[in-house]
Amino acid sequence: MSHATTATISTTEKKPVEHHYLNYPRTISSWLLTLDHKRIGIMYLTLGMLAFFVGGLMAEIIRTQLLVPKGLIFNGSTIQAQYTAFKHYNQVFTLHGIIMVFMVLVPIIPGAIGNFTLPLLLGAKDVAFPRLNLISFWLYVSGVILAIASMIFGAADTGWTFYTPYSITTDTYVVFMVSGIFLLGFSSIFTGLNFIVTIHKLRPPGMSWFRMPLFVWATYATSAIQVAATPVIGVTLLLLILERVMGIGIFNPALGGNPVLFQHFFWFYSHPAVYIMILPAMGIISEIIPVFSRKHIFGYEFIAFSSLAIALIGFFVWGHHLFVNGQSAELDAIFSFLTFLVAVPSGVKIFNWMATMYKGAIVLKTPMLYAISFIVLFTIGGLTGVVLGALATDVVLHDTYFVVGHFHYVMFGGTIIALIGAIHYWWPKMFGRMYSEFWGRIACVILFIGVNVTFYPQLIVGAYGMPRRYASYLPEYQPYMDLSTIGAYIQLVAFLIMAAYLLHSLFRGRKAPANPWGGATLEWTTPSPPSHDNFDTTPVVGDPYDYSNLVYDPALDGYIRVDREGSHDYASTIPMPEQQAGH
Amino acid sequence: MSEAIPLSTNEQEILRKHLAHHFDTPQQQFESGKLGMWLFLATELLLFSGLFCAYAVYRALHPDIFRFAAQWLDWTSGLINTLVLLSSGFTMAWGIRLAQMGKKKGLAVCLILTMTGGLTFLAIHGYEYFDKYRERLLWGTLYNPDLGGNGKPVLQEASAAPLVGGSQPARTGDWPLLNQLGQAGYIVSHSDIAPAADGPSGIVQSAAAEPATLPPVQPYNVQIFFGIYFIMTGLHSFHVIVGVGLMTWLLIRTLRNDFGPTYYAPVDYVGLYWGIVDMIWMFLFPLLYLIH
Amino acid sequence: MGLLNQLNMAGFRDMLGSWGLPDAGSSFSAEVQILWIFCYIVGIFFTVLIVGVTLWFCIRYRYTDKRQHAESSVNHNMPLEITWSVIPLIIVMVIFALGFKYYMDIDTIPAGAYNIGVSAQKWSWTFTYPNGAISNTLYLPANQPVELSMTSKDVLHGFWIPELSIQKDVVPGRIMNIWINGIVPGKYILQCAEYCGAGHSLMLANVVVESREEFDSDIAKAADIWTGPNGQLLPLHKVGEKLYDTLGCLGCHSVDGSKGTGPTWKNLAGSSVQMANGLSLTADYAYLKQAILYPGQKMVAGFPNVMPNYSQQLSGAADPDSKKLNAIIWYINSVSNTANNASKPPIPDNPTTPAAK
Repeated sequence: MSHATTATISTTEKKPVEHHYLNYPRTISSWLLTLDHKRIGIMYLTLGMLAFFVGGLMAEIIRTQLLVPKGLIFNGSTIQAQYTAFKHYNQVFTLHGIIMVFMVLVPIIPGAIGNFTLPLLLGAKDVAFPRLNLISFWLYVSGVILAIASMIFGAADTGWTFYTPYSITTDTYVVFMVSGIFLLGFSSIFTGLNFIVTIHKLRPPGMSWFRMPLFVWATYATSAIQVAATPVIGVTLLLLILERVMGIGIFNPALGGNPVLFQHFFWFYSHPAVYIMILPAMGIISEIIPVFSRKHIFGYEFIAFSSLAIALIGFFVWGHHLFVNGQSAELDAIFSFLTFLVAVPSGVKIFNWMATMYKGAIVLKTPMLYAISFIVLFTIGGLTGVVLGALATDVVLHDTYFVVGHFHYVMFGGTIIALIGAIHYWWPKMFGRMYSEFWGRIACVILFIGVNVTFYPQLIVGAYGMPRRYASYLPEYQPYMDLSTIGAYIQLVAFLIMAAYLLHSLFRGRKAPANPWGGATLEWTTPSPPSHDNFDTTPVVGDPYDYSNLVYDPALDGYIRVDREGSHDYASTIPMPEQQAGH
Repeated sequence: MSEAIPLSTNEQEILRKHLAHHFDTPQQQFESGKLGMWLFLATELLLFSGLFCAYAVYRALHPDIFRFAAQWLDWTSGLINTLVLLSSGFTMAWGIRLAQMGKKKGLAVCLILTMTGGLTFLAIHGYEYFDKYRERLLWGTLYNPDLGGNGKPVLQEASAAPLVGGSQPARTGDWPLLNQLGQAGYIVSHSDIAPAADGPSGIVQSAAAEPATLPPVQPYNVQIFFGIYFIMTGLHSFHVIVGVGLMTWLLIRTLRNDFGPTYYAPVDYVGLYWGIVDMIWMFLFPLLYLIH
Repeated sequence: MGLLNQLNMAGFRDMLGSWGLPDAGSSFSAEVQILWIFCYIVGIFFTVLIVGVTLWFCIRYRYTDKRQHAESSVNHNMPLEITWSVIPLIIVMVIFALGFKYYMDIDTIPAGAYNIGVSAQKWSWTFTYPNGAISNTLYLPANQPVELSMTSKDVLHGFWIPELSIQKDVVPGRIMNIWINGIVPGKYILQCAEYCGAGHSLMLANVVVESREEFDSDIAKAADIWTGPNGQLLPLHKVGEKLYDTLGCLGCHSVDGSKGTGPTWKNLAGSSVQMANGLSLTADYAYLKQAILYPGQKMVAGFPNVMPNYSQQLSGAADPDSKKLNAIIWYINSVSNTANNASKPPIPDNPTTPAAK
């Protein structure tokens, strides 16, 4: 609260130093206890990137292990020695899955990008419940700490799916891990709840539902899933903890329980969770593509409603993870049908993006390169998903590397690529600095190659029969496994380059103009970086995808809004650097 | 309403104090809080809905377990608890009304009455738990009631379990045997119940003397029912405890004169929460206690 | 360049021969491949379309000094949007229908199929044939529908033979039934597809699809555990060694002293064993017998209570005269320097009298 009042003073101060949300106030406690959505977003981003780094390290270990059929890192000469060694491998891939899913893919786009941009895109001063937002962040931190604690004592070796009865009987610290994820779940619920209320109640005058940027729509659909699905994983994990601590027996066949029920519960959350991961990514792409095509988004309403449709139907397709576990053929058929039904709106969004590019003026800057990478990779991910959704082919591909390849194309090629795109797109707004466009493009191209070299061989070898979660494998799979490992190393190079130029830009980067890309959404009307209160005056809301009166100003190296007939006059609300200095 | 009536300076003071910087009007803030609270309560319902699903699945697959086990639940204490919760829901609603009217004393009394209701509920429930514990009507391997007499049903299947050396083999890993005996579908693991092989209250003798009203034979996996019973009621009781804690907080704030006709949102939110806690019990009671 | 030497060009051809799926080996492989190839063509078509058009747009409509604004301001076209929604919908519905139709063939077990029992445990497979044979290799008669009744002794496992186009989870507490009709004789590998712990990737089994005559002779050989390759009667500890393998003991108990999920058998017989309840006792014959038949009754300190109960396989009708049980106990004695008369079975190791089968 106190920050709010002091920051208000800051905007009226007559000092030449620019005060913005990053540098005022500067104390550590003012960051850790901040109620400012932007700071919370930046903290999510920082921690999320750290988690991504650890998860990525695990991925590199996994890929290195799989260089040779017998296992390069974890191996043994006797069968018992192999069991001991492979258990460590299993812990590594479990950690990779848990970190990437629960600590990066699910929370980071809403937590980091959503928190930072949502109120700005809406024209609001903050999210509806800033304190809850902070609690959400600290729940996230506690969840991560608990999970890391389990890593020190003896990480779970259950796979990220925690299938019973293995997760009940293994001697690793599953309870720690599961409690951590339980907390992460609450963090996710509170974030979703916060966003829904924000979108409903904190829109300024003029921001009607159909003037909301599409990322807001996507976040809205995502939040609805977070609120509706996460409690189910909460109770599932609670039951799993009780299984291990008290032997409650609901999921344990040895006590008369039903292990398949666990799978239903788990996927009732975890399939919609896939949409928690991909919908905001689609929202990001819907923001980037029109800006860099200098053209209004094509089929706004379709994209907005398809997000909601995907969110809704996405709740009824969880059973497609259980085609080979013995559920009845009727259920299999229903789930397969609904899966195809939800595939169509996801796929058709791609056509909308292509139509947006048609006859545009396409600027191939780094964020746009990521958006195009997204289109290509998500297409491959989606089409391989079609094969898995069909019942007869799923029987021969279930639990193989084909599935691994498929969901990495969607999750990495989709969500992570979009996340990186979003970071590049909003980087100037977040930190007020520009990064090196040259190195940005180089890293994007390398990453794109790396992703394909990593995951395409996995599709091939999976179709040929290699099962997933194998610490060792049959020799005939080796060429593909090796290619995949080389791809993983290429990705590592791309990420190192990225880390280098982004960190460089933080300290040495050129100062960013208010609107470097020519975006028409409201966040670009604020200075870079924005002040504590986001908008000094209530913003005037127009069409978020109308670029007709934004022109490039070489002096600023950014875009400014020129007054034209029949359009809102924003120019006066854009604080120019000169104006601000002498304000 | 509050906009129409000119506010006293004190009320304006309260309003200003409680308006966060990012809201434009108290109305907007109140509505946001209320929407947030409704969403949160929706997630609470969904949390329980998972358990209701588990209940439904097991009841559909094994109705015999539920019929057999429910006879051990004391429906009278369940009914008393239902009435207690209903009346506490009433006092809570009344408290919100009094808070809107600015009657602090009345609000305090209502809060105390509601808390008392919650605590009575917990006490009765705690006694029930204790009773179940004494009778070893617990979950998993801890389910081990004395079926030998007292008009309670006895077990016949115990003999189906392989018995060697006088003690039962551990449950874990035993079910494949029954599997190989050719039982399809869900394999029923044998019970851990003491075989009561000798003595006057042994299996066969007293089975014949069973009253006809009770199922003569204990089905397999009765422990599943008690697992579900303890999880559902336990999670609900946890919510009651949280509710009582929130009432305490409200009571302190009431006595501190925090609330008035213009600002009573926390009372309203806790009231909503308490309503949901009541409502969940209204489902739990018939589903668990009134199976017959 | 060890990597290049490893590249098996024949393997490459195999993999790409039937559009990336392994060559068809069972009666429904062909159907699966039809659907796969259909999806493949659809996939290639749309990938090329989307990637091609996107890249072409990037070049054709790139931002230049002359083209700073979009040429077109059309942002909505209902007929177009409906068209590109309906066409994919029709295609995926065709895929759904084909998938469901073929799946029903996989899912419907024909009447009168030959029955083989499959038992999965950490981390081995055992197969039981109608003649009582138990083996670790799955023998399948060619051109004969075979129903597999699968059970798991501990956790989830996955029965997965890529070439035979069949996969099913093995869920503990249930009997999972599938069927196979292997039409191409040959050797295949069964891999566990559902994650089951440390030995998951080692949980493989050989699968042999062969003519009915070869099959009958193989399972007859497997049924006779008492005779060696030359027809001589084996000493019981040799029989026990076979059972150690086929009953899956080797998954948890080593015979070289290394620690596994269960206690090692090396120097077990006759030694002193520390129990979980604090007492210690001597591993004599009676103890070994009880520990195999009802492992949960006396728990050894430091080991989890996870061993399945073997009283059905090793007592009663399945093992008249406890010969198999004694064979295993003889085997334990044979790897124990500590063995003494109290730990040895009451029947002699060497087959002095003709073994009763």
